[in-house]
Amino acid sequence: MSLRYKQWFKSIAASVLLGGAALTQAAEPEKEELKFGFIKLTDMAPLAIAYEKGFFEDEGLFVTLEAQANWKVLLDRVIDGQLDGAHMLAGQPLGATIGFGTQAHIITAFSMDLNGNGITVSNDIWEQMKPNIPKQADGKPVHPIKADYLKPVVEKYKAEGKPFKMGMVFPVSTHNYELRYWLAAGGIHPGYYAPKKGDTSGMIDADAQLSVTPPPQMPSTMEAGTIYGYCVGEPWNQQAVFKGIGVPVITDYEIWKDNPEKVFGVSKEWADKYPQTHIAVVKAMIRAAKWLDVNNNANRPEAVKILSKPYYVGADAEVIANSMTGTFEYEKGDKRPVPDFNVFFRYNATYPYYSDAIWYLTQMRRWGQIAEHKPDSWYMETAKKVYRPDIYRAAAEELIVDGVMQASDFPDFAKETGFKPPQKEFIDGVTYDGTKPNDYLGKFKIGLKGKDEV
Amino acid sequence: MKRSAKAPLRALMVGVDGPRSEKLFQLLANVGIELIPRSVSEDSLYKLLQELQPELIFVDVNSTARDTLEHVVSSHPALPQPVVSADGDLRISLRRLAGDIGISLYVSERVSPCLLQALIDITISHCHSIGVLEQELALLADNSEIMVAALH
Repeated sequence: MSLRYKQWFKSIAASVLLGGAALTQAAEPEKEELKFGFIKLTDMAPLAIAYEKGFFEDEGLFVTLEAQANWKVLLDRVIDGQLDGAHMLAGQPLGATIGFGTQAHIITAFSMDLNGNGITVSNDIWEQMKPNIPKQADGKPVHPIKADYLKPVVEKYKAEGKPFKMGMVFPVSTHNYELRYWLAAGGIHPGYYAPKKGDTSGMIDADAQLSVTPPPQMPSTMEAGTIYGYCVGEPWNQQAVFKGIGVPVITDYEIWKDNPEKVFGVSKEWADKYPQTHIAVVKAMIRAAKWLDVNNNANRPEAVKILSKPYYVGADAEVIANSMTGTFEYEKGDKRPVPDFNVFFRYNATYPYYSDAIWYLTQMRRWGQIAEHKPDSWYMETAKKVYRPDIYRAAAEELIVDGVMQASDFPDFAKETGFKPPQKEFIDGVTYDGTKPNDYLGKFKIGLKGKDEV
Repeated sequence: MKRSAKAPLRALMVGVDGPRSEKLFQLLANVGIELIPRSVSEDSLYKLLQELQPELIFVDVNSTARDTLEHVVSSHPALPQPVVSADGDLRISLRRLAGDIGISLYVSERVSPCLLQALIDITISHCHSIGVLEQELALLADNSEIMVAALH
């Protein structure tokens, strides 16, 4: 008897015990053979684990995972149906739905992880920053390292007429917004977008010019001197340390504690056509996320071995392990504990909060990707169009009925509004309240606000 | 520097591998489009595209340089742009070009919709026909070897 059917009988028994209150037995998925895309980054882990541990099969799904070479083609393939779903940048479903870049209605019912990125600068830039950074008693730099210490370096380049160039992954990537946030918090202008004027370079008025570089090429592009630093997910920050070509100066956990990272995205059309399949996929991925975090990350060493396989991330296990097992190496030998560098399940990491969606929308507005003022109601409506906690809730409730998970594993759905309480743990001390996006935008010294236009 | 409206169209290939690149080279030469003989890496794209200003860019859909290319062209409206608002036959042709040949096309405003349609059709036909011919010749060679082996 397969695990799926064992679970089916178990859940029937549980339903009977519950006095019929939970007699909502999971329906069969409408589509069983699925192909999902991912980019070779460690935060694709929930997909790999759901596959390797048989969680997809338990839901009656036969999944193929296929690495994609770039975010553009990954999104295009989800839109045209070549992929059933994919590991996406959180900004991709939002950007596509509001028409920044390729336009399509993409939704997400599953947030894949929290944190996981870092900002690295070249050895040369680090040597120039170092004299500005306060030191601990042991001589090591005080963390978090703010962009205030990079500012004199950027100003020097500016005075010499040399553009200060940094790399990020994609215009709607978390990395772009996090790098911009860190720079702007230190008084360095990362540049505006002006889509209405046909300029979506994001370099208008920029002190630091941010260009798109594919994650695996970040270290080599920096080594070649084309960029002086970058913001990317793992293992590409730790690889700079291993290669001795750069120094990660800050993790995104220190820029915004427990920030939302990737999502699992599908087209709205697909979700409408295969609702039970979608729920089954989310169920499998919730189980995978829990497996990744359970018992204080006890399964992470095994996850590292899985992820290091060439068809997943394909980087050295040693490099992947650095961040996945709770430590992060900054300057060579300066290894510090960052137990929450990669969070997959705890703190309700998998729940698609509207407030997470709205944070991304505020950053799109702050830097001009959203060219005009929008009322708070627009942010709410857009978030609700794209982020779908209702689907997540259906998956979670089935897992509880199945006896696979406990109600305590999830938010209290009866009370959950989809908005996290105001968050204060940002590097610049600004508090974010997702229910008041325009008020939030008004708090920044650098960035568009109110009726501002570029 | 802006190129003359009468200058021949120029094309750049990004991430297109050897055999497809050779087929495209022959095709473009036959129809009078000049192929810019440059190898392109992600980090050189920002500088290279502004220097060379091609009217056409053929990019492998699976190239790691695709995201960079998308950003570069979105920053400079005078550079070739992805064709996103195609309808009817053109839309089908673009899908075939991406699906069957593995190539996406970026074009500048000098390339009219009619020219674009013709160019895509001939690219699909040329690459597909040569591919079929090569397969048939390989099959013939295999069969000949089997027949020779059988005779001995």
